[in-house]
Formats: sequence, structure tokens, C-alpha cells
Amino acid sequence: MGSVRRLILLSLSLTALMASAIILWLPNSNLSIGPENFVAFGQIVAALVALYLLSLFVLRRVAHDPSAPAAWIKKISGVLQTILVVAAILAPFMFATSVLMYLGSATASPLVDADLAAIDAALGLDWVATVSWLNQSPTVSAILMRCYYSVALQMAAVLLFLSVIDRVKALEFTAIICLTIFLTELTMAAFPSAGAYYFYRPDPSIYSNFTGAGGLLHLHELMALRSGQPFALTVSTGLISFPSFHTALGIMIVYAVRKWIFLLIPAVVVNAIMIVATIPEGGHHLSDIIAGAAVTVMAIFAVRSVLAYRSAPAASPVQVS
Amino acid sequence: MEELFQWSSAKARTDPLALVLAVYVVGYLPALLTSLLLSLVNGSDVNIIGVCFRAIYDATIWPLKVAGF
Repeated sequence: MGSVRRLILLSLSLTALMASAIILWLPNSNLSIGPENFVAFGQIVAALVALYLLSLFVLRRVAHDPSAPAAWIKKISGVLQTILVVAAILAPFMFATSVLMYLGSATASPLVDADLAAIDAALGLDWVATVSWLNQSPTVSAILMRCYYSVALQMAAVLLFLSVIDRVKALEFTAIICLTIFLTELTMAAFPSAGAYYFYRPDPSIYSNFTGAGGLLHLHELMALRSGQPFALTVSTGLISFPSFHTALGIMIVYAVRKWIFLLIPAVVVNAIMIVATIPEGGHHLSDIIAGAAVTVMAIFAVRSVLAYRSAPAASPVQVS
Repeated sequence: MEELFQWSSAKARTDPLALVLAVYVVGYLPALLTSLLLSLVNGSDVNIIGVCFRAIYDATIWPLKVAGF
């Protein structure tokens, strides 16, 4: 089996696993999925299928045309097909992952924030003092915020860049995203956490230059889910505090662009700052960051193993003299 | 540029449907980039992949958007 097929199979297997968990779990939970989610999902699937068929049609019509314009159209159609394959993998996966994140959060299990804070203290981090110190300079706070909110743009840019450059690299990145989210959600379900803002309840004056949105906006939904009351999922927002998914994204992005030095250096700088920003803006414990990094490294190694796997060579025929 | 013009003229006579769809496919990537940038400028990072999917969907109807619909 080729690299492309193995990577697609890995990502689809994770989707199937998550879908199976949802089918078993959803009827026994207080969560319901709003119909608008299925409409949005259907629109995306229809758009992807239509685009794939159109690009396939165009490719076939210019397949035997040796001219330069036809060569460009073939190249562009190929890139478009890679983007569509990546999107077709991620669309059902992200749908499943959103539902599973809400199911995993709808638990009455005790929060582990006190344990995470104790680990931070053992590592020498005073969360409140750190946020207060980072908040002292408006310039530093502004840089941290810019880097924190650049992650969406970085993700989209990396996915597009890899789709243009190399289909295998784009699919490798996709498989790492899928496996990291899968491991993150398993960890989150086992160790529920509400985040450092919930645990420390700091005075707003110590984070006046930050919004703290990453660490505060999810609390209303998280507490509603944990209350056991019926909950209708309409628009999915990030509920994961432990492990830090921003940290995971930062490491993934740096790993994805490691072969292009002109991208690697800015990616390392921006994402290092972004990971620091997960403390004041994302409301993460230091333990969340360490766990996010560990989960991502595990996912990268697992995907690399899948890529490096070679089927055992067939036994060489016995020479008969 | 002249080769492109000649190729397009020939294609319009021999295979107009392929030409129209080729223009659509070639225009899709700039439309996707524009849509993505607009979504990211207007939105936050609450749902990263959701923003990307919205951009993919919006870019699918780029001829309509260009036409002002």
C-alpha cells in the first residue's frame, strides 16, 4: 500500500472510531445535535464532491493536450484535488471530533485543575504572578495576543502550501492533525479540566491587557454540559483545556515546515511566542502545555511510523540449477 | 499570453464546456484564498477548521460572488 493510501486510511480509521464512539455514547448522554449542524455538513460535502468531479472532468479533457496552458490547468487541478482530499478527510473528522468533545465534557467527573496547579507549582511556575508579569507591558501583551490569534491563519496557510508543494506532506500533516486531536480528546475525557482562569479566579486587573478569551469563553458551555441538564449543540467552540491544543498546533506547524528554512525560522519564533501566550490568553496551566507537546510528539512519531512502514518483501524464489 | 489566447479560442470552438469548467477550476484557488483571508480577518480562532470549511464553501460559488450575487 502506498504512502498516500496509508495516510488516508489512518485518518479515516480515526474518524470511524470516533463515529462509533458517538453512536454508542450519544443516546446515553444529555447532548443533542442541532439540525443546522447536519445542514452545514451536507453543504460542505456537496461542495467537495461537486468540485472534485469538476476538476476530474477538466483533467480528463486536457489529459492528452501537450500545450503550456493545458499543463498549467493540469497542475492547478491536481493542487485543487489535493485540497479537496484533505478537506474531505477533515470534514467528517471535525464533525465527529466536535460532537465527541462535547460528549467528553458532559461528565460529572471531578476537575483535575487542582492537580495541574500543583504540578505547575512543583515545576516552579506561579500562574498568577506570571500572568501579572506578562501583563505589565502593553507591547509584550499585544505581541503575545497577535501570535496567539495567528494560529488559524498559520494552519490554513500551511495546509494550502503543502497541498501545492507535495500531496504526501499535506496528507501527513492531515493525519497528524487527526491523531493529535484524537489523543487530545482521549486525554481530556480522562482528565477533565476547566482551565487556569476558572481555578485561580484572578482579579481582572492582572490580565487587563489580555482578553483571556481562550480561557474564559468556554466556561459557560462547559459548566452547562457538566450540570447534566439537556444541552443542544449548535455552534461548536473549543472546550479543551488539558492538553493545550494551541501548543499542539504550534508544534505541528513547525514540524510541517521544517524542510523550508525561510518558513521554519518565522514559524519557530511566532509559535514559541504563541505557546507562551497560551498561559495568559488561553488560560492554560503549564501542565496543559507540556501535555499538548507530549501528545503532538506521540502523534508525529506514530504517523512517521505509518509512513516508514514497508510491507515485508516477498521471499525470493529458490534458484534451481 | 498569445499561446493562452490561441488555446482558449481553439478550445471555445472545439470543447466550450471544458473551457468554462477550466476557467472555474483555475479561478477557484484565488477565490479560496480571498475567502479564507476575509473569514480570518473578520472572525476569531474559535473554530479554526470551521473557518476553513466556510471558506471552501464560499469559494465554490465564486462566479456568483464575482457577478455580484
